Parts: sequence; C-alpha cells; structure tokens
Amino acid sequence: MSSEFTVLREAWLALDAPSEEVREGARARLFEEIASEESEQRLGRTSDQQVRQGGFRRRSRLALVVVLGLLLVLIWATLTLAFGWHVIFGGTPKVPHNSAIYKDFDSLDVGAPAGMASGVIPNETRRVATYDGIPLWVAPTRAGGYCSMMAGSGGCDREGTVPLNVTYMSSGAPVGGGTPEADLGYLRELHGAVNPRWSGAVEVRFGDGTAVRPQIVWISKPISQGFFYVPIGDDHRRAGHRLQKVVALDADGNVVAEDSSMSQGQQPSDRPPAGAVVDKAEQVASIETPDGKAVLWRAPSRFDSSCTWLALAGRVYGGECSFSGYPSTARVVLVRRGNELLLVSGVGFTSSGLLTLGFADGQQLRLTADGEGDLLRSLPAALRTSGMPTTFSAVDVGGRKLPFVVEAAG
Amino acid sequence: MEGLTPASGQYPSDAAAIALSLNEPAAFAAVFERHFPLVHRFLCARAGVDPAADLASETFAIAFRRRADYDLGRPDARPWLIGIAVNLARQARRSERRLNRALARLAGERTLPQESPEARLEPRGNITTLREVLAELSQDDRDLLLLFACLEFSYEQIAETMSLPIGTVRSRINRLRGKLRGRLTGAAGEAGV
Repeated sequence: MSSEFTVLREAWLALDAPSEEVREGARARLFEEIASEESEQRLGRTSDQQVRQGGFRRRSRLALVVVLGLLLVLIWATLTLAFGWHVIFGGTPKVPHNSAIYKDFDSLDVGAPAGMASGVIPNETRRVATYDGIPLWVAPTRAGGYCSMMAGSGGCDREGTVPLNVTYMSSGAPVGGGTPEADLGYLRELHGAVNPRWSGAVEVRFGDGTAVRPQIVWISKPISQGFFYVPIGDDHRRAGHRLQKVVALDADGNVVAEDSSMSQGQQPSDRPPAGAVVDKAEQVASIETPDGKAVLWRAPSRFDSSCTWLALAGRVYGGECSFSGYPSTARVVLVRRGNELLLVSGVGFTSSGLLTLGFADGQQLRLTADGEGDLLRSLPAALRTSGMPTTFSAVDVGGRKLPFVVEAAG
Repeated sequence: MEGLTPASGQYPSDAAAIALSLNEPAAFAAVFERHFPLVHRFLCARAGVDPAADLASETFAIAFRRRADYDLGRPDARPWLIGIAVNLARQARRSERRLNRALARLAGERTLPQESPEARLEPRGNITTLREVLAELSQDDRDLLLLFACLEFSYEQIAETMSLPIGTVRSRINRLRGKLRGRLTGAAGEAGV
C-alpha cells in the first residue's frame, strides 16, 4: 500500500470491532431468515426446490420477456404484411443542405404562380424508403401535406387531402407521344402515395386481369401518407396486358379512389368517379341530345369535398372530385360523337360567368353559366359539324379572366 | 438456534459454504461469522456508527435470500457482501435526505442541517483524519477509497463490488491518490505516523 493511504488504513483498523451485542443482534436476524427457510423445507419445499424455483422464476421471467418480444415481432410482422411498413418520419435523418435533393425541393416553389406554390419545407426532407436502390425522398409542406420525389420525378399534395397520387415513369418513348394504351408499352414503373384517412391498400390492375398489391410504407406525421412503388415488367408492357388503373381500397376492399389517366386519358368511363357518394348525387342540369338525355350530376365525395360528372347514354364524361383545401378550377367537357360535337358542359365557373368557344370557321359560341357557375348546352346544329373549337376563353361578370381546363371525350 | 452456527473455518471458501447452504441453509452462518466484522466496520466508516449495526445485519439477511444468485466460481464473497452493503448505505443516505427534507417542510424551514456519516465517527486519533478525508470526497470516491485503502481490495474486487470496469477503477484510484497525497501525508506528519 502506498504511503498516501497508510494513514487511512491505520485509522480504519482503529475502528472498533462490532460489539458482541451488535454481532448477536445481526446473527439473530440472519437465523430468523435461516429458520424461516428451514421451516418451509419441513413443509415439503426443499431448498433445492426453492433454488430451482428461483431459477425457474428467473427463467420464467426471461421466457416471458422472450415471448413478449416474439409477440411484438409477430404483431409488427402481421401489421407490416397486412398494412405495410411503418416509418417514424422524425426518426429518419434530414438531408444535408448541400445535397442535390435538398436543392431540388428548395427550388420547387421558385417562380410558382400565385396560389400554386407547394409550400414544401426543404429543411425537413428525409429519405423514407429505397426501391430497387432508388431512394424515395419526402418533405412536408406548410399546409400539412407533402412533396415526394424519386429518381427526379414526383409530386406534391400540398394540403394532404388527395386520396391517391400516382406518378408514372416511362422510358424509351415520351409519355403522351402516342395513344394512351400505346404509351403504356413504355411504362417502367410507377410510384405514389395513398392517404390513410380513406385507404389501407393500393392495387395496380392490368388489362390481362392480373393485379398487384404493393407493400405500402406508411410514414408518420407530419407526412401521414402511405407510399408505394411498383416496377412494371415486360409482361405488362405487351398489348392487352398493360396497366389499366391504380386503385386505392378501403378496409372492406371497396375502391375509394382510382387513377386511370394513363390508360384512359380523357375517354369516358362507365361509372361515376370512385370518390363520389352516388346515393347523395343531385342533378345539376339536364338537356336532350341526339343521343338521349344528358345529365350533369354533383355529389358529395368521401374526401370532404364534392364530385361532378356528366352522364350520357350510359357513359360518364369528365368525372372528377375536388379535394379539400384546394381551390376549385373550372372545367369544360366537350362530348363528341365521331366528328360531331354534341354538347358542352362546364362546372366551377363563377355565377353567370361567360364561356366563349371559337371555331376554325370564325363562328363563336357564347355560353353563360347559371347561378352556381355550372352550364350544360347542346350545340346548335350549325356548329355541330364545325369541328372542335380552336379557342376558349372565360370571364366573370366583371370581365375578369377565369382559369379553366378543357377535356374532350367521345 | 443451536447447531446453526458452524465454525467459520469449516468451509474452505465462501463459495463452498454458500453452495452447501443451498441445501442446508444453516451453512450460510459460516459466511456471517467470517465477514460480519469487516462488513460492520466498512459500514461504520461509510454510513456512521449508529446505522452500521442495522445495515450490516440487513446486508447478511439480503445476502442469504439472494445466495442462489451468487457466482460460485468466486471463492471470496467479500466483494459481493460489500456490494450489497454499499447499496444499502446509499439507500439509507437517500432515505435520510428525503426524511430531512420532509421534516424541513413540516417545520417550515429550508433544510435541516445534516450530520454527515463521517461526522458521526468517533473523533479519536487517526479516525479524525479518516473522517475528514472521507467528508471531502464524493460518494463514489468515498466507496473506492474505503475498498482500496481500508479493506485492501484488489482492483478486480473493487470492480466487482462497484460494478465498474477495471480500467475505471484504476484511473479513479490513481486520481484519488494524487488528490489525497498532500492531504494525507500532511495529516500523517501531524499525527506522528
């Protein structure tokens, strides 16, 4: 022992040994324990049993922990298999500011028209999944939605209220270069997001009757979306086997939203938009056409908004649902029959807004929306064969231009 | 209780006595007889003379109940017993503090003045030095110092007792050595050692 501690050791040794009284008290206390255990032995429990039971208790506890652990893993695996992978968004690292993806998101709103900015928060960009070695990047928006990007393509749901959002990635030919069906021959993969408020699964349906249910990566708040990715194999690029639609399903397997824009383009459908609560649909307007009665319908949607569609001769034109938080954009639907233009419908204009269609032969058609901003007109016979309108414009009652989109089907 | 007190030298090691006590509980008395003075003395230095008797008694009662957990590969039970004693002393200290705070609240005072365990050591000769030195140390350093300087535990035994890595024990002892060098050599001179 070094000299530093010698003094302490000596002081220690100088401490009084326990008195006999103290020692006897402690001994009695210990012997109470011993006697108690021996008494139990006499009642049939041997010490060995106790030790074994002690060991058993420890082993039981260990087994319980293991069983609970396995149970949690099983529950997690079941949930994952049934509902997809779950990722805590805040638990994944943010991308550095000097990364390319940060800069992509940071520049997303540069020059965006008023009201069209995504409000993305690039500082919160995170990689939430990797598919075939390609990372899926997600960032929240200030309004409670998200923007996503994968291999340079993606999109935003600024408000977080869109039920199904699909991005298609093709190679070999530009999408839109041919017919929709032909374009699908170049589809390589698709990815997107589904909103867990309304959907628990996604199904990708093909023309040959096959379907794929991709695993969904559910991302926690503030994203609150499920992301999916589906590679399209050669088999599904052949004619007759190509993509038909992507549908979002609720817990009962009902289609609550669908995206068939790639396969159908603006072609009519045989049913109202998936999100519409058809039982509560109301007629907005109706007209007689050479093909029968055309009815413009409006119904509430499952998505806290409304849906509109035009029904004519058992077909549905221009079916669309709006989404909560987004400003509604007026839409014009032109219905053709061969080379004839049968009718024009419009929704979402301001009250008494004026829509003007110009034709190649110089004729013009002026249509005034009703008090609700809707319109439905059949074309005068003189204009039916004038071909498709070549110019479109819309103004409100004050003469201010109104934005709108045009869709032609038939 | 007769017949329950085998001589402490009856068993070649603590581990042997503990192993036998698994079938014959009375065999554990040999461990008590062998180590009670050491444990009591440790607790006197660590917690004070008054609480030491109860704490030492409780140490052996706990050790008896937990003997099935004892690593029979370790022949010397002192680190295990002192480890139990250290924990009991710490619990007692916390309880004492809580009681003092509660009393202070009842009395409308901020805190009752606490008499440190070291202050309760009898101020006789070098014991005064021991008391003063311990009073200057943190709780952990106090335990380390007692185990190393007074009980003369090896680094390995201290590591086992304190549940610390042996490297940590070495570095702390070295730090303590440097810290106390001037303090104790001075005291030794004054005490004529």
